[in-house]
Amino acid sequence: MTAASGSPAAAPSAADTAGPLPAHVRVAVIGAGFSGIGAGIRLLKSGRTDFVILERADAVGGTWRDNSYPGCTCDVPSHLYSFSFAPNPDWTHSFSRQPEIWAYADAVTDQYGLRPYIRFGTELTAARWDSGSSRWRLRTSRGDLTADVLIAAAGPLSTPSLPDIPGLDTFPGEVFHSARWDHRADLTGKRVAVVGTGASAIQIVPAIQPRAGRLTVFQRTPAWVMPRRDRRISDPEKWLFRRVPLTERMVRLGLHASREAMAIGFVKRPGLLRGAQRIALRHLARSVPDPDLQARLTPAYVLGCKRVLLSNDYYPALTQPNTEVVAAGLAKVDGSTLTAQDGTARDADVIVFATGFHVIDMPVARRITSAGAVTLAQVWGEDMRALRGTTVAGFPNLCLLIGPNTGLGHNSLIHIIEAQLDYTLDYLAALDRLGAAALDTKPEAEQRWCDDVQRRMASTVWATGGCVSWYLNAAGRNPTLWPGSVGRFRRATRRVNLAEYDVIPAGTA
Amino acid sequence: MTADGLRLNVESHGPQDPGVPAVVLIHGWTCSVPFWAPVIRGLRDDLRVIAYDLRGHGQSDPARPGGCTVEALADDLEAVLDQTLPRGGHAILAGHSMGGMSIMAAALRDSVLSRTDGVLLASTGSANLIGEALAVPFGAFIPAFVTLQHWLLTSAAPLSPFGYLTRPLLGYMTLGPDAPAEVEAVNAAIIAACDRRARAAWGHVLAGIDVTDGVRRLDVPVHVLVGSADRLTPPVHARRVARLLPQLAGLTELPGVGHMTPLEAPAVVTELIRKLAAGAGTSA
Repeated sequence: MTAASGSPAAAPSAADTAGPLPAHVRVAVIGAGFSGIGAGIRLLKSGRTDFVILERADAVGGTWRDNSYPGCTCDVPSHLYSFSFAPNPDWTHSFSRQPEIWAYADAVTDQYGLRPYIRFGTELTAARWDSGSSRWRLRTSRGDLTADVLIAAAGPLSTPSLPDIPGLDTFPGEVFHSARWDHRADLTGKRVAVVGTGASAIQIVPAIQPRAGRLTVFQRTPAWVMPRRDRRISDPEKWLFRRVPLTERMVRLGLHASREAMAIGFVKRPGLLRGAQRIALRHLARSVPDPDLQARLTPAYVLGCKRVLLSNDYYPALTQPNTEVVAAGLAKVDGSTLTAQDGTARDADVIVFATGFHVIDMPVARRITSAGAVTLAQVWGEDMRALRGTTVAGFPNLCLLIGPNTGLGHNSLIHIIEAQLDYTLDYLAALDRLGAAALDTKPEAEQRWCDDVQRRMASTVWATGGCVSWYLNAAGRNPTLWPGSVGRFRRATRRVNLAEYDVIPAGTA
Repeated sequence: MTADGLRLNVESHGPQDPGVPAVVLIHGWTCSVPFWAPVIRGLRDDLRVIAYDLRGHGQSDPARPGGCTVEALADDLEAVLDQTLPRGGHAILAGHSMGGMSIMAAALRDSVLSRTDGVLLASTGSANLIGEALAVPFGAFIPAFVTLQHWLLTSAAPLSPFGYLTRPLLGYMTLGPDAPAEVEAVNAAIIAACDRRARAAWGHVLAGIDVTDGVRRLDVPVHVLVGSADRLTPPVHARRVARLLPQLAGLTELPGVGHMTPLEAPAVVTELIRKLAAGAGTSA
């Protein structure tokens, strides 16, 4: 937690409520990141208290707890990257730093009194649907329990993805992933290799460049980098947001609307992104005078195909004399010698893998088993799919938050979480109303939904932009992103359409 | 029997076995025990449910002149605990509106706090009630309307002869927009039954009440409940109280529900009380 030392998030309260596990709950939530605490708060707000949140770590915050690497910042504006029901007038920057976002998650948890419902240090190891009792049987690192409904809020960016590099075990120095930053490692004067040039890497590189002796960046594919319009939020603005909450809401609405307008470029008319591309190219040309380096940093695909990155200090850091960009991936390691895919070699003392996360395979799916004893991962194969991003045929009473095809390239994922929570709360209300034991997704409804998603995916920049991104799976399908606006997703998840479900009545054994 | 010799109407429902967890229900301004009827029905099978009429309300004795004070609210709660709980017995306290304020005021007394295992504060606040109420549209923002809200709170004007007029008005001020007609009728009947002098006297107390110190002292699990459409104690109060509580057990904001949460959402109120009772059982 050294990353957060001296910041307001220095001590988000840790495992002080590792209370006993209940034997049975109405709802069990996996994970206490943004989607998990969002789920808990919405349950509390609706008057439901028969639930528990299982969190393997000892603090809330999920991705924003784990990613403490130097320079970690959200690339969605602060006033958009917060829950609609918990506005924060005190954001200090228009793009929040990780400690502040983590502190926000912690504060919101206490604001609604959610902490007593969280069991920290409790990792879900297996969840099996018992069709006899119509309940989920959960096995955790701290004992077993049952639940009527399971909400999987394990998050898409929770399990680091590490490439399998031959010879890595022979490397004598420190090796770590950006999301598991080793704060004891002193990089001062060291030869540091950063593998990857994605959203984490472009924040890490400028943060560690002044300290490192030599910095080598292994780049498989250059990213599109746009200027970041970050500034301090002034005290009068904060005062206004606090005193007249409507003003913050207006700012949020404005940000939301401008982001929504970009959806059409990503989804329907990638040609419209050419304007943004020109801005990014000018940004590159202004920051990197050396034509050779400029060429190495110029992407060959359409902007938006991979995540668009925002940074003002990434390019300048790359021009420093102690920094080198290798326009090839890391191929193998032999002792402290790193060989790139182009055959060239460099020596390093420390390797930082900024190589992202297991996004397309949702690791929690390997722990969730249907009544037929197959895991969700097996059912999916390489291709995850769900009805309205939330429910899966054969897995009754399971709601996935940030499930298949719910990611966004243009807007705040918190909107998606809140939309899915509307849906999940309505799902629970439908169970109550019907007095039913469970709802099981009709396979044909799921199929229809997925077909429609794929049909709209065809025209998106992610499919047509000419790149291979973490959004795509081995089959070349995009199971991660939502091909549309947030508004469309909200409309699609406002209510559960019972025609899309088989109702499993209570008391059938 | 209270500290100053008044007789309070106290009802006890459910099993009377001292081993059964006890719940004390405290109604709010202008209400009475029947206000809790749906909640009592939901709890009495396996909990001991005690409910009483505040002085000047229902079938309790009217207060003597000068007898309506915040201290008296706390006195009466203490007296009820003394006379209904077994020696050393504990209880869950659930207070609605002014009943919640009784609990917050009484939290400054160890004799009450030490016998309290958990608290439900439903549709209540700790201070500045008139300044933040929305009974009159925009009432919190326009000074003249604040004055009007003060008058509404403290007036002794009769309600009953104007039932056709006051009932929808009461509905507007106290209930959520979707409250069914039966709830509106029961609500109006309970409020109309309140003695108008007592209503005015307690209205004066509410106008200046500040029990914030008690909130900070209330060091037991407390669940805070509010309806999002509450015009008398809007959610700002609940959020402020939640922030000050040492042990917040949860903040519930029911969408579309007004001020009368125990009448409008008895199932939720019942579940929250049960949860507090279960929590008290496991930690004891």
